[in-house]
Amino acid sequence: MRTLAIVPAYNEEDVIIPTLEGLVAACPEVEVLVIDDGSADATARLCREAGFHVVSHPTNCGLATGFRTGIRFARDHGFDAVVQFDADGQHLPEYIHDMEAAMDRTGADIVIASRIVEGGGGEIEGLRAVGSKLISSLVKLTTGTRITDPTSGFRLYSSRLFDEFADGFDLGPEPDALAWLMRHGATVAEVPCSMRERQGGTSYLAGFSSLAYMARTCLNILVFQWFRH
Amino acid sequence: MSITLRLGLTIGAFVIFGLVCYEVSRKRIRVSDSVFWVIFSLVLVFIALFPQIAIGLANLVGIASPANFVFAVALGILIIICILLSTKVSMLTDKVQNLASKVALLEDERRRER
Repeated sequence: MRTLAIVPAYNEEDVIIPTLEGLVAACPEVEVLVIDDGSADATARLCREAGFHVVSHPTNCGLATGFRTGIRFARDHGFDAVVQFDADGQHLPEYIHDMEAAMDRTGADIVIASRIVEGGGGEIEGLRAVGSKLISSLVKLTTGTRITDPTSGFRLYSSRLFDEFADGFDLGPEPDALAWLMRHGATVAEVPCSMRERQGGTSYLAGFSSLAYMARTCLNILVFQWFRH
Repeated sequence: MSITLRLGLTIGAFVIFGLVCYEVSRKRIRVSDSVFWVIFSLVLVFIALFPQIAIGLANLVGIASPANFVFAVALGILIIICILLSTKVSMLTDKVQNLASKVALLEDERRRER
């Protein structure tokens, strides 16, 4: 399986190089593409100096656009799958092999590295765990399939979904998009994983924006999915 | 609060909700941008169902008619939304102008390399 690791990065100069070095050491056969989302710091320069392939957005466009840029690159260059890999060091690259094996074995379109499924590390607590449970039950309600860790950003996507993500409207690597894809025939598998604390930088989900995130996700899964084709 | 106003609020709420759903289905509004309008229509229905809320708040701030209170608050909220939309449009305009100039320079560079 030819896999591309998409690493969206926005102002991650403190952590990006160790993250990328860990990724290459654990999975030398996986190609790495850093999407610098208009960082104001040295993120792009450090990555280029270390010899990594970096695509820079000329302006900050958000995570979904970064992912889309990566998907377009993967489609143009004939990759079989992409893995979404956080720049902040939360994701452990060792699990990419498990995810690829699960995709081969099950034929699933999406493989999620889950902290919650049997054997996972369970590193999700407090309000995040509550939000995650809520989204999980809404997805179960509307699609009939349970995703134990819908907010895990560590996912492997098969090339069958590239067109949808590259050309679709308002479709990012988020749980509501997963639910929509599942309702349109995509299959999902989960493999257990552990995650680390973020090694630096700040989450794009903090304070008010996490409320807006929950509102959008729930609304999309519960209401708008029925109108979207 | 008159039954006509309560009915009007409810109809208005449904029109807003229907229009937002239609625009989402036409892929002309992103879900994150529709959240505000869905909440807005829910609040309208809520006020129509429980007019005591509007009556109580109107008494509290000293507005004689709860209908006037509802109009004043709705007007205030919409003005704020207009200002927020103006800032958003400005930011988008600036982004597009920047992108256009960057793309133009890149194309120029590429053409000269050939």
